[in-house]
Amino acid sequence: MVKASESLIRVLVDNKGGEEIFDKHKVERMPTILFLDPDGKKVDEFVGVKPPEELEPLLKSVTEKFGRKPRFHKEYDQALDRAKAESKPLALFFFDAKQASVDYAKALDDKSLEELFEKIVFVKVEVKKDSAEAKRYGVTAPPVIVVANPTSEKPESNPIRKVYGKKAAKDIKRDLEEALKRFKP
Amino acid sequence: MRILALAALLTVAGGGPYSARAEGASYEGPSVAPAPGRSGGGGKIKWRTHKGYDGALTEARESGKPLMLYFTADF
Repeated sequence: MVKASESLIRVLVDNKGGEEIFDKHKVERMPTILFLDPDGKKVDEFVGVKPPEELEPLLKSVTEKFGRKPRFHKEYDQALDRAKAESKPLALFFFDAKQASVDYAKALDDKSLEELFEKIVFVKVEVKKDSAEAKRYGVTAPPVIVVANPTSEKPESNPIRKVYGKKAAKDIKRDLEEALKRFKP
Repeated sequence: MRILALAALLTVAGGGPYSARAEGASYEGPSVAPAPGRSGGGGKIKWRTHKGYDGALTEARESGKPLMLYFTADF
């Protein structure tokens, strides 16, 4: 069951300190388990205790029904493999801890960009001194999104487009849509 | 009510204290269903505490994983 649980993000909320979360989800009885989809919408709940042999199939079922592909990958190689397999452009979001990166990430969270996450495979790359991807793609000043063709021999050598920071969501969307049009797998 | 809930949990979970190791924070407490510690084998389920709630929502959205929120009493 531990392995099945790892397909979900798990949070233990106790009634001392977690009262706001109890209120938000209108939970009045304990123990209660709520299942939410990746966008935070409640999809199932039960009150009481279930033995592992009953809980495990439930965890698998929720994961199968409501889990989806990552919006942002964390691993470059994993994202590259998926982009190749699905014949989609690869977008590397280079960021650091500064406010400009925080603002850019917020703009990327805009709902108007939602469908682009279906058409482009995104990976987050934190720019540090030893960041191999930042060196490879010649990025020194985050935040920036570099859109690359994953099927080319060296995706880094000829990026489709670079979308620099300080842009509104609508401008990022326009630039990414242009990159999509120019992408030829 | 709280005592009854605790008694029910311990009965079903087989009694005895369990511990749950949370990601990014620690939680030590008695058993809670799905019983951290009564995991059906393969180790213990790892949990975040309520302090990791906002981060969990963000991670779920980015990773595409559903969330499991376990609401329990603080013993």
